[in-house]
Amino acid sequence: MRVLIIEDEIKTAEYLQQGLSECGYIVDYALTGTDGMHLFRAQEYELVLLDVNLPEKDGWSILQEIRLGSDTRIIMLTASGRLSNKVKGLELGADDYLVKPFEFPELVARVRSVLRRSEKISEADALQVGDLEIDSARRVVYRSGQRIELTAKEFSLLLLLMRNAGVVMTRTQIVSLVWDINFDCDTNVVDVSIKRLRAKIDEPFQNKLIHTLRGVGYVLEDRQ
Amino acid sequence: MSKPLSLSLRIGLSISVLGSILVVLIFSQSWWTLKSQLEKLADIRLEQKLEQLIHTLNESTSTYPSSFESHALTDLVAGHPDLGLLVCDVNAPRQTLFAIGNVPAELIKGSCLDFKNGREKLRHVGLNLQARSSALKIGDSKDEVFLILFSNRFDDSTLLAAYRDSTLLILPVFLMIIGVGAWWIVRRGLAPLDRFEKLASIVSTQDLRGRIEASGLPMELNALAVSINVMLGRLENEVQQLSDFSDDLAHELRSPITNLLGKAQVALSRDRTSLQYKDTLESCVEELGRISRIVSDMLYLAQAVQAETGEFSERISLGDEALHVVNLFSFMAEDKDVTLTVEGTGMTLGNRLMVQRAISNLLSNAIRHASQGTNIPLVISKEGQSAVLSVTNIGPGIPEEQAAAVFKRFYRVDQGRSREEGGTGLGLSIVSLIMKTHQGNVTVISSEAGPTTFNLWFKLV
Repeated sequence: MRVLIIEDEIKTAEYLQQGLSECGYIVDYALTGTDGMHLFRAQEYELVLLDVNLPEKDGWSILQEIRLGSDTRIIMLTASGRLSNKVKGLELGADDYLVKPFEFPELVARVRSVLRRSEKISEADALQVGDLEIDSARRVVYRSGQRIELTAKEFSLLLLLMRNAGVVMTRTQIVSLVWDINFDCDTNVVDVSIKRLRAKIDEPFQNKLIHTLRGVGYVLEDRQ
Repeated sequence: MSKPLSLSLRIGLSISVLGSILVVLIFSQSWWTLKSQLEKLADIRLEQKLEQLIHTLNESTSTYPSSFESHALTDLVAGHPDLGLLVCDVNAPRQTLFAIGNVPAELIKGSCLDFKNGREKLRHVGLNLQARSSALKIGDSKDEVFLILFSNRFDDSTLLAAYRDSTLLILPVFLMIIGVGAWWIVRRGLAPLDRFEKLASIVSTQDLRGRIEASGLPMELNALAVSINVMLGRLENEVQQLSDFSDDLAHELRSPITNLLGKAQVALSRDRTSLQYKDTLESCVEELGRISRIVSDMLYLAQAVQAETGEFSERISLGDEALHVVNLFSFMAEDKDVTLTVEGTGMTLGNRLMVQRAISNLLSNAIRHASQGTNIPLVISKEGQSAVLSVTNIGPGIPEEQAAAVFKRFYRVDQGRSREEGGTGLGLSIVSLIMKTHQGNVTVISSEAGPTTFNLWFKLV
């Protein structure tokens, strides 16, 4: 899938390009609004990451211009967290709105979710990573055929990691998706919860599935 | 463009205009009263004279027309230089029988029919004449005469003219006195405004210490001066806070930035294994995470300040929100071997996320400072018009003299400790601001040994 980044800060543009390319997207970037529109017209893009403050032509007018003739997904990136700006962006037709500073894994998650919106995949009830199996309908977990008892929250946390197996989840995302807490809070709770979960599903076994990415978050994957 | 007139000049001028209108009105009124009063007096005199005349004629034994020429009659009229008598025959009205005293020639030739019975003013002859007339039957005869008694009011006219002339002459002087007086009084009254001007010229964000000396000011200006002083006090306070705050912010950001820079520079100073590079990067990300959290909290504070306050329509159950937050912290509490309980309920109007955030910040602090094996109760109670949510933890508390300061930005009771634990030093400031936005309040009761209780005061609905 092709992604276009319109961002005047060259460092931001470069790391976004690198990060998203490593996630499997084909990424182009433009440093000015005019160049951005030029690229947008020349190529077919599934997603545009659009900075608000741009030289020559600002993000709002680009957003409006794109929306005139296309329903390409657009995520706005901005340094202003003002609610009025968010509302403006969404009203003008942006699909999502991300305030700087943001964490890269969160951006990736938003990109996935925005791109997924168009194709609506139904998630399977039963999931498997390595020898770990989970059945979300029956709410049971097996490891190496052995049933593991989890509390409700531990189960939700594991389900989230399984559904996003191989994808890094940040603490903020986990708090939001498992506990429905949607503001910056003490994220030590995530570390404590992961510790408990590990004690039940990882410690008794040789092959560890939950991995810590220091400074980033957690990922569940079979690395063997 | 013309320069605007000074206030004192403007008020002086308008008072002069007003004063002149007033003077003219008073003058005309008194002139008119005087005039009509003089007329009345003249008329009374004429009436009396006429009665006297008629009386004399009736008393007279001599017959018409000889009696008319009697000495007495002549004396009665001719003794007064301003009086004149005209006698006509009623049956031949155009014929003037005779005239005594000061009667204008045109009237002698004129027609007696022009006069009605009673009083009358004559202006058409160019003189200020007043007349009174009466018909009179002479004895038993059929003869009837018409008597017209005139008064030439030359003296009255002179008096009125003198009054008018002197007033007109003195009027400009009056007006000048009024105008200059008004200008001077207004100037004097406005003189204290100089103090305001002086103050305004010295106030700036660098120096907000100037105040207006309020004593001796007129009452209206005194109130203004007092409120300007209060405003300046408030501004001074806030500017001070702002400058303290930017100092604090720079200070807070300096240590993580120093760490980052140092760590990266050390790492780059020689070749290292990829594992060592990874470790450096991870450590940098952690440090950056802290900076990012501080910035986010700062942004949140700045936005909450600007958010419209108190206009919340969402009904919020404090009990439910407390349970929601407790749910988040239950693993952490278990890990630290403390228990969390929620008691009571209360409803308020507010913003759900903000309320959750306030409770969460308090609870996270409470767990961090609670002693092992203790319980942290979240109690919701009703006190008067307020719903109070209290969070209490047992364990080392805050010395009383520092209790009020904990809501200041970046204030730390135990320097450095909570920084190690990842706090931004803004948690309680955010709680305080959230409560202000909800037109509520946050209070703390603590002592060095603990326990510590934070109370959130919401409006009860």
